Amino acid sequence: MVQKRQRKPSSKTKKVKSAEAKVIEVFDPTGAFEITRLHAPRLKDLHGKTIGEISNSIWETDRTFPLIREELLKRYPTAKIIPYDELVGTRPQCEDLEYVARAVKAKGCDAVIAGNAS
Amino acid sequence: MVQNAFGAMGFSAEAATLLEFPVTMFDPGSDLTPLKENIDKVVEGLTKWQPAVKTKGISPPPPMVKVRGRDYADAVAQMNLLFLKNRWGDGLPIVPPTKERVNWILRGTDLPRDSIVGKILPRGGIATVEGMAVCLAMAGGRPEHLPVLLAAVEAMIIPKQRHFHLNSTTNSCLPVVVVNGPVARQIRLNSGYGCLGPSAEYPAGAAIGRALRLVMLTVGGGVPGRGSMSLYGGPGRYANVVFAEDEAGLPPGWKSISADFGYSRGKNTVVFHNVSSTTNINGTSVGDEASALKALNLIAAFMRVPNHNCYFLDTYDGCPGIVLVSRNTAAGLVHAGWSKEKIREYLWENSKIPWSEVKKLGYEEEARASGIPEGEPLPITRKPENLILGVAGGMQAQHSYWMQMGVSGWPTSAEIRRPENTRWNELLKEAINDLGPVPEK
Repeated sequence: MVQKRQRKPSSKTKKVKSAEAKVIEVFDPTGAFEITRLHAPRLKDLHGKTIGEISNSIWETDRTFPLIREELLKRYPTAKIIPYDELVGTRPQCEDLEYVARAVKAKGCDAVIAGNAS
Repeated sequence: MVQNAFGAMGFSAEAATLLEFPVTMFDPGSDLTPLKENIDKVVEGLTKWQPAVKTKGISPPPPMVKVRGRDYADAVAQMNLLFLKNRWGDGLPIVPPTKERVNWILRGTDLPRDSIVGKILPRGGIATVEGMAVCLAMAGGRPEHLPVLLAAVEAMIIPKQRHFHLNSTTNSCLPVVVVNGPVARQIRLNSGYGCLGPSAEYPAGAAIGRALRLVMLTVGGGVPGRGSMSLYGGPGRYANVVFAEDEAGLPPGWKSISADFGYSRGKNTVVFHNVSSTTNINGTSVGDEASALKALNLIAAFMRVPNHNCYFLDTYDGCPGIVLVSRNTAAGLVHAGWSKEKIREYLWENSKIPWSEVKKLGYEEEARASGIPEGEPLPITRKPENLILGVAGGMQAQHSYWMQMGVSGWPTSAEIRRPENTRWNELLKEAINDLGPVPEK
């Protein structure tokens, strides 16, 4: 797969004041990036919505998710929250993205909460 | 990490709600008040947040960076400081990836510079041929190293290698790249004394391995604590492990590592695996049947390690690690009647973890999942053939080497594609001019 792309002019010049200054031009090593999917549209609100939890069981999710659940239900009592251990389970299932997607669809989730990590 | 996860799946690297908490909040029994106070932001992420990126497509490559200094040496120093601030690199000084240097390195391939090799996870950055040449330039590499780096990256991103684990896991694992074929000697890749490095006489392994790490860090986003959650990292991660098998030292009838992967003799190939430790085994001199058994028992004892990842996901059918023996040990073993297949069988049988140990470690579930009946010793892999056994290292037999598997990956392989012959021969001539004659074994 070969694709031609134009480089933008430099925007990250580091300056040192000197009449005899030497300038070197180098590549930014991070490279290009491809967006193949767009983030899903947001919900209007959470009333009556089904929210799924996804966790790999580390980072104290057995304590953080119940707290998030409790607080969301205080604000949206008609919301339905599917706990992470009832939605896809933990490892290894939670690392199989196709399995997760199937489970989320099957349970009729309108949104999911995931990413309890740094 | 969350942003990287989105990037890896092809989304823009934006998170709907990104909250920072002190890491102590995730300690057992901690105070979760900071989380409770931020629940409305979680709601906001589900309802109001809007991503900045609203269209699909490939971003243009990032612009070149100009760095100014009092003179050339100062400009290089300033560039190194800038790269450190941007977290572009491994923390060690780098060679400036200027257009001239990168163009020079690109002579090592016939591929167009903007050919896409693949995406490097977890960040999902696009690895182009030019991008690989940039990393090789930064690592101090040369054009004739580029074909091996490209093959190593190609092997790394084969799905069954699961490089997203390798580059983001909490495990402190690192890639191993074993090269077979005539290209190894041509580019001065070491297979003998000190083959795993360091060496000024054989600089290729360190340059290619360091470039591979720079690809993982900069393109792949495996930055410690941000993209890579490796708890310890490790000194081996700076240049990884890139070496050649000692093909000239293979005893008669002994298949090379690449042959075990289905390649014919003379093919230039890489075999890629990831390991979590590298260990010297002292005491593997072999002269007769008794010393052969002693050496093999010693190697098996080093392999008899309760590595949880051997039993994780489907890797029980993968590779538990790599054993290296020197040509002298290999010759001694063959002389004593041991074929490569017989050696692997013996090591597999004798590296099983006794049930008493399985129980003590709480590995009963792993044993059950691996189909091992209760009470039976637990093999470190499903079958003997899964073990990689190679010949490399200095001439004598005193030491061998064991590298146990890292994360849930399978070994993968790729062919090394050199540029057309005239260019390749020119590059090798230039290397002789620059570095002197290729060292004799």
